[in-house]
Amino acid sequence: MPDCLKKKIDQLNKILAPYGARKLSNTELSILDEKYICVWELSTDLVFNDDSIVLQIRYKSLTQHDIPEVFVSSPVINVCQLPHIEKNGKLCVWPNTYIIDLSDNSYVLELLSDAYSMLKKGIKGDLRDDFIDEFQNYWIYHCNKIERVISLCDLNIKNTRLVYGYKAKTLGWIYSDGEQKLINWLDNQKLLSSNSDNSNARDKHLRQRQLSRIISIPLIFFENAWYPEQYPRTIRDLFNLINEYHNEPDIVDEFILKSIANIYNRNPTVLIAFPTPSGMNIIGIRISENVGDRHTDRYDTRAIANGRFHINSLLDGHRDYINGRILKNRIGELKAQNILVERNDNSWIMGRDHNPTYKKISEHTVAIIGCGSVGSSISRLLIQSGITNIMLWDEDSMKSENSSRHLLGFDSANKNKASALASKLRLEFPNTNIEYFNEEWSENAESSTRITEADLILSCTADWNTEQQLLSKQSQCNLGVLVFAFVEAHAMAGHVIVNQIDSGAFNAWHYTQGEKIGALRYPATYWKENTKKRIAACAGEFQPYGAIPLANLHSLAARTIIDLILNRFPDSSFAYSYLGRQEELVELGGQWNNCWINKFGNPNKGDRIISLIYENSSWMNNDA
Amino acid sequence: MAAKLCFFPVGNGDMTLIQTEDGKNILIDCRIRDGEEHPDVRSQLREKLSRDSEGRLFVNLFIWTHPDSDHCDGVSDHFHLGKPENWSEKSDKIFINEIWSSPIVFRRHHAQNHPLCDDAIALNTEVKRRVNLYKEKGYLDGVGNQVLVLGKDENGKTDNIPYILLELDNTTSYINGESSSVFQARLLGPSPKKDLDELEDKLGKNHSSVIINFELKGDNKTAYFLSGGDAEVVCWEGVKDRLSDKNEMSWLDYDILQTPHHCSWHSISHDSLSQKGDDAKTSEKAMEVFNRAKQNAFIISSSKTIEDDEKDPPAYRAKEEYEKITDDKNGQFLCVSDHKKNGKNVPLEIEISSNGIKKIAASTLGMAESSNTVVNRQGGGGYA
Repeated sequence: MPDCLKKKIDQLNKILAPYGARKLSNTELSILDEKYICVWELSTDLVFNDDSIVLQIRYKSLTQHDIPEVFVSSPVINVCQLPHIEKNGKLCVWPNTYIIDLSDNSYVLELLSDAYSMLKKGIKGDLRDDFIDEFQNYWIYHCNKIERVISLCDLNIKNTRLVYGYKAKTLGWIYSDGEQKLINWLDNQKLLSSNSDNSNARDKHLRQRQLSRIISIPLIFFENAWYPEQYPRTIRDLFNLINEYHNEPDIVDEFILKSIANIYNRNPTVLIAFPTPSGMNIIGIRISENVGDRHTDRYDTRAIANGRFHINSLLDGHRDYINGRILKNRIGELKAQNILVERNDNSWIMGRDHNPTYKKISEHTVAIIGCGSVGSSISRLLIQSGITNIMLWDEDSMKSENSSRHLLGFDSANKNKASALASKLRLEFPNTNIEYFNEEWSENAESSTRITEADLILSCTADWNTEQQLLSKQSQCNLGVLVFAFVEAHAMAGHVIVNQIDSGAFNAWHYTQGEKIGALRYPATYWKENTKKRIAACAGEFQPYGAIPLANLHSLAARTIIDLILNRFPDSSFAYSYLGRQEELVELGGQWNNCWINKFGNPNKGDRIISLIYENSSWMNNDA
Repeated sequence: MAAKLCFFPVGNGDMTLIQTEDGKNILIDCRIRDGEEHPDVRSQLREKLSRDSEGRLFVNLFIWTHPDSDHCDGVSDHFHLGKPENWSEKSDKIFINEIWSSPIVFRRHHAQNHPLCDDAIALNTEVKRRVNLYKEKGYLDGVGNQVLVLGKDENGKTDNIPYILLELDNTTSYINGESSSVFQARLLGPSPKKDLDELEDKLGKNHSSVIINFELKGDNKTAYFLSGGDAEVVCWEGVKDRLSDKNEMSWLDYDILQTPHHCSWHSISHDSLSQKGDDAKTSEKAMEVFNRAKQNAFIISSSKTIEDDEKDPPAYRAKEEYEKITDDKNGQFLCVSDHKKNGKNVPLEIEISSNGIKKIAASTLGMAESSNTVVNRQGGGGYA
């Protein structure tokens, strides 16, 4: 054994000796479930079920960063008998957020002391509510059905109801409050046959069959979570819980029985939701057999495969009518298959139910014109900020070389940017409603009027003509706010301009006539030479810039849109400009532009955000 | 009721109290030093004793393993030596009902011209007083005069006192003239004087000590406590040879071993650590004795804290050897100086009861001393 380990063992021996610790022998180590290099055992004065509690402190490597684990080695305490006990008696003592001064081994005493106090309180019953606060930790140990179940259900709706479910081969069951919402989610995940106008009859038929498999099941809302001893083992236990703790047990029972009686519901499941002090929870209980399944042995397998047995067995002895009480009894003895449910509703995804702005943000629709390196990344940031409704316009195709700064990569090469972006975002964020238009937005475009459905319009085209048409449309149709996002050469400056209706803010930033039409009046950067690079194609050129400085514009634009939704700057036209690092600017052959310096001040070393405001037909520095 | 063994924190020295199930207090050696640098073992000891009908704080038995100062320091100042009637309430010294001592050990010590400390001289005088009183009266004249001679002396010097003599390999259950059902001591050393001068010379040059294996009962649990003072390797080899010949090696089986000579390397090896370093080997014969550990055995070093350095005693290498033994038996090696409460040394106690043989923790986890400066419970404030 290396000297450093011997030294650490000696140190720990001395630290632990006064507490009666005994270092386990190599033989004892060899019979532990996992490999540990050193373990000490300590008797305590705590008693559980008439047995004294013995703790073990286990080190896996004894290196400085090896934080030991604490176990109850005796008596055997099962998960859920006491809070914070995991498998094999492991104690969950400290959260990962604690930072330990690992140079001082005496922290082990603090760890053991906390373990001791926790056990003491646990035995006394003082931590009983932890079973509720950390419900999922304990429920997981009683889950005897390994199956992926995803809930899109809105748990802010606190009532018992029927929800819709669909079983996808690849993902398992998905449940949602609304059928349309469920279908949208499934479509986003490409789990249903295509529904486009181009779909052939076979696809349409297939889709019809898929949709017919959507079933409804009960989601039962309880006022309080269950303690481990209440976790149902049989369906009868579940009925008893409903009877005891639900306000309307008869209605709930009927929901369950109807759900089971549905011959297409071959995996009858009940979802259970309840609040805990640490948030809403949802779990699932699968009824291990459909009532019909209980008599499968009486029928030949072909008939079973065709599903005919369901009707026969369900009505066995009760051909026209089955009494609810009898049905309840039939299934009462069945084992409850407890299931973990994965929350995928947006309230959970966008801030684990703790995002107060989510609801308002999610109600807005944003139109993004231009899905290039600017628009694509901003769209993703907006979705991550809670936007669920997005419309995308772009007729350009993705090229391999775009991927160095585009959200899309090689896998989208040669695909329409708007379509590929929609496809990617739908897969990543299936709760969204993303519509795309494979055309350049213009007044004459087929989809032109659809833009009126948007609450905010973000233009990421850096195309003067398109932007002028958008301004015109904004004015004509009384559209919402128009936001323009673009960068200067090498992305050494980026601008987000908010143009309220008829404000003229955007155009005031530009020359609007003459030989400089469309050019910036106040460019932040100046380049002695043309920064555009030619490529071997007809009128082929590109503006080089990197993904890193560009990311500043993405966050600035997304932030501005969220600010607008949350009414942080009501009715004003304003802008944010990101100025890159002067060192980088000079290295690329540029310098700060005098037009900018004269108007807004010298950026000097740069690397900052400038807030600008449009007032009295003029742009000015908002920080002044 | 439980029996207890209590090892006082006397640094490199011995002071061990056996508390039998029937309430007898047996002290093996003593080392009480003045000065704040030493743990207050005087108070720790006195707290554990009770007073007799005459108001004297007393031990039923004092066993003196050998006359080195680290085994009898402070005996004159803190124990009453002399006639029982001279015990003074004012000085309130601890009264010794009975003393066990070995003339052979004393003689060997003397033969090597080791200077005797004042406490050793005083205690030896007291032993002689008691033996002479017995010889004079022909009987043991009550508590305070009781004595037992451990091992036959040379030249027939103990032939006329068989009643107060415990011969080698024999056992006794008598304390203060009464037989106990929960205590027995088997005398395993010192080895008798050797006819061969060479062997005797070796024995003399090594630390020689009384070696006793105690059988102690607590509730219905029996524990064997092997204590050998400062006996060095030759002594243990002698014990091994003799008991092997007798086919009685089981007499060495122990649940608790007090490492001889404060975890000295010289108790387990002839080789010099300073000269041979890692090549120094243990004595196979001596290790046969120490390997008689029973399952879950304790090996206890009554010594200073054992550091990985050149010091001896306590020797780090010796500790490693003992740890091999305890590891093999799922046992435990402990150093008395590591046993602390609130940072202060306290006695290390082993309890023998129906719960088994257990070390009593000095501190409980609920009161664990933690500096509270090694864990940031608020986190660092950075997230990723």
